[in-house]
Amino acid sequence: MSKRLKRKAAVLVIAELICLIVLGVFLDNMQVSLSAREQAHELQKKISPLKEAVEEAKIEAGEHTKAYDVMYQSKAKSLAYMIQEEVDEEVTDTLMGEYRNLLNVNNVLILDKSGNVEAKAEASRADFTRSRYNQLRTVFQDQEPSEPFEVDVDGQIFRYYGADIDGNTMAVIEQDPAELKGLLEDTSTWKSILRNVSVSTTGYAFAVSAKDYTFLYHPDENLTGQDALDAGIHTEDLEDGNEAWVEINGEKLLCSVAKLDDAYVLCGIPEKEIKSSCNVTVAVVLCVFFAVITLVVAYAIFIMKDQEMRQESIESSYKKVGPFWYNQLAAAKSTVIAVVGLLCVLAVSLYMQTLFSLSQRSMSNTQHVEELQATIQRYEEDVNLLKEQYNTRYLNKCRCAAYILKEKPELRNREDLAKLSQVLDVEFINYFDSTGTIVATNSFDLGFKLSQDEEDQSYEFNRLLAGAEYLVQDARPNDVLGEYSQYVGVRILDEEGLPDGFVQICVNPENLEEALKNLKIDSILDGVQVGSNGFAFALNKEDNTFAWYPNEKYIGGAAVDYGIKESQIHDGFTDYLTIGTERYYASCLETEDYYIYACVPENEIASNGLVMALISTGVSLVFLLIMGALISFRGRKFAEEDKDKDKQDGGMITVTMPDGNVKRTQDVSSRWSNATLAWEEKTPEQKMTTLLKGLLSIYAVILCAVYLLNDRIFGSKSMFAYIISGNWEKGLNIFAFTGCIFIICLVTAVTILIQRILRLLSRISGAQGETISRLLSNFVKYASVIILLYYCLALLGVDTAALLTSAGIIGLMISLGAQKLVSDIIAGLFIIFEGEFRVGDIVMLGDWRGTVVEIGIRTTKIEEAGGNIKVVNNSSISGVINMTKKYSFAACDFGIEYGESLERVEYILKKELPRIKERVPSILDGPFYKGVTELGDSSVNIKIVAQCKEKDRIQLMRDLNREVKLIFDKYEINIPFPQVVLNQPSEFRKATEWQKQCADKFNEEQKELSKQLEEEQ
Amino acid sequence: MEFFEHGKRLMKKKSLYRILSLAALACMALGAVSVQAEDKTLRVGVRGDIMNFSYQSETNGKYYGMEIDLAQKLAKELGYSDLEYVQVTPEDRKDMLLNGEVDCLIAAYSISDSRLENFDFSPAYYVDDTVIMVQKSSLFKSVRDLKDKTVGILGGTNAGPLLAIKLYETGMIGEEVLLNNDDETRYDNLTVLKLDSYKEVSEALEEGKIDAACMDGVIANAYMNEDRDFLELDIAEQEYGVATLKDSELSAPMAEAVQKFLDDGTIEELIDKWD
Repeated sequence: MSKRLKRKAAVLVIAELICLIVLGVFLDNMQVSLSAREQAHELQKKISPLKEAVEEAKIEAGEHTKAYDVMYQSKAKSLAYMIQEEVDEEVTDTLMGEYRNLLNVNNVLILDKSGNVEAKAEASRADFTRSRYNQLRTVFQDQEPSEPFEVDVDGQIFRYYGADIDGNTMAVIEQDPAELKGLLEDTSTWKSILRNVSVSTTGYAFAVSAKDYTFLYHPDENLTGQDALDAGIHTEDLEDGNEAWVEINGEKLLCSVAKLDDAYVLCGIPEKEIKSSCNVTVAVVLCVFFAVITLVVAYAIFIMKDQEMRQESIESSYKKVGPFWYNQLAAAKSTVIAVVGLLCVLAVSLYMQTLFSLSQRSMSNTQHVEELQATIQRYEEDVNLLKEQYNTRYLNKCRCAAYILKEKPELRNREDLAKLSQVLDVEFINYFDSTGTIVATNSFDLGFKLSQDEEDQSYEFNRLLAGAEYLVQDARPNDVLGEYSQYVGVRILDEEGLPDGFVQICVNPENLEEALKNLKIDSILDGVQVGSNGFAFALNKEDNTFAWYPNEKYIGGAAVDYGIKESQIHDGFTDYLTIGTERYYASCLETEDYYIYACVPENEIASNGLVMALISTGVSLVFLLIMGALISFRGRKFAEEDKDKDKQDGGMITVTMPDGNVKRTQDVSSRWSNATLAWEEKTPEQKMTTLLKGLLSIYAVILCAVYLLNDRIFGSKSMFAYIISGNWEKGLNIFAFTGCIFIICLVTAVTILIQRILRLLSRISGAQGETISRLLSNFVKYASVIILLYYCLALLGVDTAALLTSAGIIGLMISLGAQKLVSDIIAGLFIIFEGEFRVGDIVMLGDWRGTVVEIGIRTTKIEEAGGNIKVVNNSSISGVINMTKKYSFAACDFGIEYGESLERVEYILKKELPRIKERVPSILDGPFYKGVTELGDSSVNIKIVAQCKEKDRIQLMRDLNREVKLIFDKYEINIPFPQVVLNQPSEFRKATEWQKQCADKFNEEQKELSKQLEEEQ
Repeated sequence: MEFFEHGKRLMKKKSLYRILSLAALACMALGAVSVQAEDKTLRVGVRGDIMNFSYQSETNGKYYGMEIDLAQKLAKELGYSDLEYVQVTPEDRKDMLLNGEVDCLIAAYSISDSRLENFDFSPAYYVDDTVIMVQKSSLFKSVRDLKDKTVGILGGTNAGPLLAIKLYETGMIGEEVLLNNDDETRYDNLTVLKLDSYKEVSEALEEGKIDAACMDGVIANAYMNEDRDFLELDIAEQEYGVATLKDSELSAPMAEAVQKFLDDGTIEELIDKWD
């Protein structure tokens, strides 16, 4: 390599590195900002439902509190009622204790107007005379139970309820609201609201108090209650509707902020997550760009080096353009690579963009359906919890009623029962006697008798007569009105402790009804937003009809009728599907009763994928143009510089391709030898191919490493993990395609590794070992191809198991009809895989000699010298002689009369043979005299051989014949031939010099003219 | 010719010396200025218990809030290189400043005539109201309901006297002070209980020991909850200013700096930030 070229190469490499770095930085910034913008958009979408959730939680909390208060107010009322009605004669502290247990509260007190305690179950720390307790005293004006309030005395919180007894005294219930607080904790705290919010894959929602800037909720338990400003949040960022990068203990998050009540709610995605997907995309595009630019640069350098070696003049390879010299060949050839490379960059960046946006979508869809599932589960739990709580409350009411009615039998009449049910806040009260007949009630069922039919609702209550203490029935919808009602019964014991009828109350569980309504699929899926225009829907599991869909007319219709395929209805489905005329990207999850789908319209995906791909390609183009200019122009004309030695043409020969292009190919004998060509002997194209192979194998190894170590590199929740996990839909989609690439890389890398090892082994083993190694290597190759085919087909959704079982049927088919065809195809595959011959090779097939024009899957075409093409079925190709060797030789036999002196002839040959070489340029070496081949019937046969190229061999034989004849004539050596002498032989006329010359010329002319009519020998 | 060259060189040298000496002088001058600033640390008395104004984080002991930001900006404006926060309470802040333990007070310290006797105040950077807070369950709807009741204040604040003046003006209480000691002041128809901390005031209100609490608006906000209410009564506007010792060197620059921040909207920005 000349100094100038070395310098140029160095400049090119530096320029390449600069291009690579600039492109990398540019693309990374671009991608991150685009992603961040997209994510910010998503975050905004997350925030608004949060606002609703907070509103709902507030309402729910209100409802819970209301229900709780109503219950305790009714208890206060019951207490007041019992004292009013003088259920027990004397009001004492002991009685209060009893009442406390009956009502199941913490403390009951009787107070006078100014707050002095008249009777109590236990001493209270509260001083009721203080104005703090004025709320209780409202009962005297309103005649209604007082509004609840809480007082915290020395850290002990009590909630107070009062009810008027007689205008001068009131009944007060002092209750620790732990149960209420617990309920609120579960439903309306920041934790309960934000806990289940998932943002992107690793993001989360958290809340910061607007009052004191502490974390009201953060997934990290340790942070909750801590100072948010300490953690790194700036007060400026905390504004409603703001979007900002927020730092929490060193972790940067892209957050959107909303102010709700006294708190800032933030939804954040870690920078790491946004960056990681971008980094992979950019890295892959950079790898491709690196390969392209490296190939372009390397190829150009190889070509220029080649030019230098051939000692081509500057004029022939450079053209003057203005003040510069322009290398045409290098420019033309590297342009081809650059164009193909650019297409690769475009394709790969488009592919990566699509891959990542789809995997992001898949993950986010899956997350949505999982969230929905969690919601359903939570609702179920809520309903169960609610049921239990209400059952306890109703049972307590019923116990109260039973106590009162037992202690005061005179209240067992319609009017008093009506009053009592008002006090207890129940629909109505039934008093059953020991025979199971209603003897007193405020409903219309007087005289109703418990049914003895197991099917009936009232049958269950017979158990109370048999001695069971209480019975709480489940709420059921009323047959007539459809409203829910619930029955609760408590037995009454007589003096001797034997069951003596029971009291039954009927309640209307409104809250339960509400909760059950919420549990329905439509109320859960309604309003669910996936992406910006996506939604969720559900299919009934039993008959695959729409259980819920945003468009009402679909509901109840069969999914298949609207374009969803049977194969798309299963757990874990993630792919495109069509509903009506729209295509959606959807994910499916199976629940107990439904298939729940989250889907986004097709057009929402990869909106900026194309933009990014075009930008990447555009920037790459600019860099390649710069590199192109650097490659093909040179500043000044240069003096002839020192040249390297002529290169060796070892192992390489020139062949003519069917389209007339002259290419260089490997000598047939070196193709199967394990020896590789020395680098210096390679053509620029070969060097480039080697380089490409090297790059590809490096990338393949990287891919393998990524595949094997992905958990450690990217974490188990990353998009990359998703792509590798194989949890996507098998079929013709980008994930399957990616999976195929991974598998191909992995298997190919392993195969090549094994082959290399085998080759090393064969080097140190004997001939036997070599054969076995080659056989094994061959076997590994086929095995890997079969494995690849099998896996890739499986990934692409082909039922490979069915394919295997149907192999028997295929076998039968082959044996019946298509045997020939199949054997042709298989033979064709084998020719290609084993490389018996290649296009451009000169082969001998039987007695047909010609150049291989095409190796097809079924037939092979061989062109003979005359331009005729022989088409041979691959299966019938056997015993091929591949003559694509570096040197052939032409051999001719000549007969000499027995009378002639052999030594004289040999002497003459010694003199004349070198001259033949001079006259016949196609002779590469020789001609050589090989001695006497035969002492024939009428002649002594000698052999002359000459080395030549295979393509010249036939003509050379003719030339040799001619030359030898001329020599024999010159020295009057007779060639025996059968002759009959008829008369006196006349003098032969010798050819004149002119005639000789003419003859020579003629001979040449004829040869030239008939070149096209070449006939084999 | 040679001589001329030499002279030229000499001249060059001379001018070089001149430049150097000038530079040295400039350096010295600059150094003197910076030494003066480096020398001093501004010790600021701050409260540390008023959310959004100045509060001390329990976890790391750092101070946050509008007054803290203001103190930082003032220190920078006045050329101090260092800033030290000294926590003060309403009881001891006056003495701390008088004894020189702090250079100035930025501690929700309102400007009043009695205080102007000893201190200089900067222009007010924040205007606050004194408010009355009651429990909803007490059903008090107006100040009139507080007749014969007990009001709690933080000892050392001027909320009590201000309330008394206001109530006297409305005619609810008499002129006479029946009893006045460190724990309580008893007027005709009203008792004012002086407690040790705002936390205690709040607890007393919760338990009902006091029927109402009287304190500055910014402080009350931190103790406000949904079970409490403010009673409508414009007691007095409290103007918070930066207090410095009377006629001290710091007084004038401090007032100027605060005025500057008021004019260029810095203070408005800070209030907005911490709102």
